[in-house]
Amino acid sequence: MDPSGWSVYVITDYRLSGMRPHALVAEEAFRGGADVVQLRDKGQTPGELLKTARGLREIAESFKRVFIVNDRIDIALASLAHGVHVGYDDFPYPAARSIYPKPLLLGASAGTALELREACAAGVDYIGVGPVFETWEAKGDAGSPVGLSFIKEARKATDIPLVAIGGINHENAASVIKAGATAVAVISAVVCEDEICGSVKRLRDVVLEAKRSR
Amino acid sequence: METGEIDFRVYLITDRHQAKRGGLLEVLEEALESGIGAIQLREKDMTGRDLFQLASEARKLTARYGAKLFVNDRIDVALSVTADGVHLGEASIPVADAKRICGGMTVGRSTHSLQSAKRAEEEGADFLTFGPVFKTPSKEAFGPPAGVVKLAEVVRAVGIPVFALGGIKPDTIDRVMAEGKPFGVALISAIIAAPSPGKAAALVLEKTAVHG
Repeated sequence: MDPSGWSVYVITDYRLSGMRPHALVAEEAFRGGADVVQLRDKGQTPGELLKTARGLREIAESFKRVFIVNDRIDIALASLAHGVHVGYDDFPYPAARSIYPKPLLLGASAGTALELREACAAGVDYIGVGPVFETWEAKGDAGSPVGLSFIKEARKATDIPLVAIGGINHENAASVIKAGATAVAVISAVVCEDEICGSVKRLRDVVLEAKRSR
Repeated sequence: METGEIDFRVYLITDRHQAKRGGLLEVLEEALESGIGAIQLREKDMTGRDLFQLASEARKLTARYGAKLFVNDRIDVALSVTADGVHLGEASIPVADAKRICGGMTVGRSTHSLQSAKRAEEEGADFLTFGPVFKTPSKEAFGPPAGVVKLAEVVRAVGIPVFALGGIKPDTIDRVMAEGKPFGVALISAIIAAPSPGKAAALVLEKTAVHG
């Protein structure tokens, strides 16, 4: 449950996963060893999202892993999710923390020094750092790549667990961990694949190996 | 009629795109100056961060005038600015779920049929809007206007305050209040888009109060 022990963080994407249900993707990801699954679906209404979230929360509970809702703190509260992840445009981080107190898990995105400072000051439980590499699926809101140097910078600046995100795959995951990330967050690297479970497992092996040799 | 904490008869709903000069907050201040007692912030095309900022400003403004503030759909935003309540739509999470997480805030619900009005009451809604009563561009997605007869039916069927919504303006209020017998009226453009929001608000309040 503690973010400092995370290795693989999987974010769902209905379209990229070939319209396979979120629940199926979550189940496969957990079977493959994902520590966290984040539900992210901007296309569902809040009412639909709550239903989906309840289903995923149940799956996470059965694996004794973590379930996180993207963006909507109210949906996270109503679904009894373990956490919520907010981007910089989603919600001011201190305001998010005040209505979503510990031990609930609050994650915040940081792609600039300012965002990093605000996330740290708000006392979030983990920081989503990125986009590390060029991504093709989230062009609109992700911004330009921050590179491995920003992970190193963030690692120096704070002890808060860092979840690296953006263009991470089996080939570059080790470099991200070596730069100081606690865990890697992936979408397309695993949810596009037919065998999500196997893909997550291979990624987890890469991350654990990189941690051992760090 | 059980009215709970619903101490307002005119429910002003926002749409910043309709606000004329000065922007939404200035329009709201004029309306509050005239005595509007409740505002629902309904701005669906803003980022959460921007909505939070606007809601914070609207909270300060409504507090200064002793008026209630409701936030549409976003219970998290409502909680974080300590709004008086949330207003839920058909696409929002169910009233019962909202009640569980909203820390005692008042919950309003939009309804477009007798059936959904009854269900919202059962789930614990504190008040309803019902409509569209008349034809109005902003509510065309919800089907043909329900009319005052249907409104009266809903008002009779539920025990919580019902606000008539959709095409409400100074010259339709008399008919709506007399024939539909709602607790009050809800409106957007008749005040927000008015050349003088303050004067429009005063007129709407006066027309509604006659029937209170």
